[in-house]
Amino acid sequence: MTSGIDLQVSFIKTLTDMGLPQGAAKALWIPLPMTLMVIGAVVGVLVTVWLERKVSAAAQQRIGPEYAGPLGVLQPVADGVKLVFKEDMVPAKADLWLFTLGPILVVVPVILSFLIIPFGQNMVVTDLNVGIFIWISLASIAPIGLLMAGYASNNKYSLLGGLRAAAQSISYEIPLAFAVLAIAMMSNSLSTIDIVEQQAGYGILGWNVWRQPVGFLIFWIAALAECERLPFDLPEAEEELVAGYQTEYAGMRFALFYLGSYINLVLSSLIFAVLYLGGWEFPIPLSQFSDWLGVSQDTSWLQVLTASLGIIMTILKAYFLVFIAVLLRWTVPRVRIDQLLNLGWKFLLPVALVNLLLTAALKLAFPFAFGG
Amino acid sequence: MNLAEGVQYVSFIILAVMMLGAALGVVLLKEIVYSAFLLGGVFISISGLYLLLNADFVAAAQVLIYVGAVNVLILFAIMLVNKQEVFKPVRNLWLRRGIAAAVSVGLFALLSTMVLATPWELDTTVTDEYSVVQIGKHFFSDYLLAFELASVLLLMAMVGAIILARRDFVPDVTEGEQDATPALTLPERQREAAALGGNTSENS
Amino acid sequence: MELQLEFFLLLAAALFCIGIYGLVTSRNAVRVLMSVELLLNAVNLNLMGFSNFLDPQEIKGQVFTIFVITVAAAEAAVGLAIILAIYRNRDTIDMEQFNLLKW
Repeated sequence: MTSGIDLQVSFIKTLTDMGLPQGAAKALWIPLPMTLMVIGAVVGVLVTVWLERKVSAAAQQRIGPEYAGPLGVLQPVADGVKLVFKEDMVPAKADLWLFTLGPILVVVPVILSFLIIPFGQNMVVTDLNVGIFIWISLASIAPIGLLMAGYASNNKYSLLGGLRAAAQSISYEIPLAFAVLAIAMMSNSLSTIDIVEQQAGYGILGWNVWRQPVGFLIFWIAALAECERLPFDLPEAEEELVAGYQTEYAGMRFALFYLGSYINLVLSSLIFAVLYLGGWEFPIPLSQFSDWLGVSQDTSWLQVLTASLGIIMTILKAYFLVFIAVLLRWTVPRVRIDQLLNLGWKFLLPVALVNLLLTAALKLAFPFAFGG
Repeated sequence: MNLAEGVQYVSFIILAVMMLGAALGVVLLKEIVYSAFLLGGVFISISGLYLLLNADFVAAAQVLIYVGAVNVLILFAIMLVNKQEVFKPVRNLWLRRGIAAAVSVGLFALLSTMVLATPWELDTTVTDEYSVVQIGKHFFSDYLLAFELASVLLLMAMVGAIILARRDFVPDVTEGEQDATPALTLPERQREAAALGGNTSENS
Repeated sequence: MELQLEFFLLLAAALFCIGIYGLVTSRNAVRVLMSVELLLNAVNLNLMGFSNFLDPQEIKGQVFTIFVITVAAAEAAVGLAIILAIYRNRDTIDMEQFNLLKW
């Protein structure tokens, strides 16, 4: 496996060549990928919102947004501008501090989780050796923010929505963690880079979907529930709770919730792509291509090509999953709250445990295929 | 002092101030809900301190379990029992508080003298093995019994909590409850108990 | 100057004392439980400090911290269930009223 291009090393080398000390060069590098990540997350949300509007329209035989820009691609930007310029309302009896802090607590952990998403061999903000575990633990902060928002609104619907959201989120966290654990067991590592590396080599056949058919279904259901996407959008079910914990929110604070939920969807899709769909790997192993072409893998243009192909593959896989999530939204009816909790605790949890046990047994029996 | 150490130093100070402030808020604030949210702040700052101590796995576990489970549980409990309740005045409350504060400050003085007086045998060797791997090795070798017992403990705690928190099937009415609760509550409880009983018999 | 073990120990001691004060003076039962969590966290901080500065090879302090976290989670679940049960029976969460077993 070649190391590919390492932007960090080359950036720091350029700066030290220009006469800066090593530490200062590193300090200058650190904010760059972070800013890039935040920008990437926001652009990802804009694309997702556009996709959601267009796919929803197609599912209902409408056209969807078409005037703002070609094919309505600027519609999400217009939405965002509208939300920014709306009056910033706080209900009279609401608790101003908690009311403001709630949405922030929902958004910040989700953006932080982007730290561990790899787009290529060296294209990750930080390669932590607890990688995917960070995502699980950061995702568990969100319920606090939801409870805070629900409580601070001083509205019965909000409080009920907040409590529901928190209950749903901690219930589905457990099957989610078990599904991830099975992957970690096969990869012998929690690092997202290692997880993708372990799937490399055989193209599409090496991806974890084939080895974890149950695990990926559990993960997808639980991830949809964590994002409060439609079959599980009980916390803001409009027929029951007006808009749940978002009822009293308007303007910028509402925009944070909106942003948070879409970033979460994109993030879950990216993580799904990394865990089960081989991350940045092309369906056909790229080393074969270079063999056919007869060029060495260390050629610079090939490395640039591989890196950009990696980024494109990761994003394509993620948006394919976003597309499936939008389709599910218009094809699956919403569950009731008791059905939701029953599904989580009485079905997904036992199945996830059995899946974990089975993975362990298979790993012992066939160490070559299940990462011995 | 180089850059990395400076960053460590500054983050330590920020985290320490955050943690102590939030902890004081947990103990002193009147509104219990604020206390619960500040408790989350304490947990998160402690997790940051763990990161400064080179323990990434435990830091993540701290966030996952304390913030994601314990704090949410406490918030749920508060929302379930959150009745604006004026506590009956107790005689000599200020005296109790004073004594407690004096004892706490004295304890702190004692502990800090101990900390500063003890010559610690620092071990400055650096290991490059991942902490996750080492913790796993400990769990399945020398701490195996404790590890298995912890799983039994968790099971017992789960069963115990469910049994304790579940509503009684036969609503026992104490005298205090009869005049405190409105008349509507009792039949509703009975109906719920009946429904619960029906569910369990169906499942079993 | 690098970070010293003493800083962490002093911080943990301060947190422990705050927890003790809250444990003794709180009248709300939930707040008492929160103070217990503060105490456990102070102890954990101590253990982690020792683990990093005195035993970086074996990191037994981290192992112990994980056990403490486990027990704390169990304690919180059972403790809150007990508070709920008492609240249903006595209709209050004032610690001063929990005196049925007093004499």
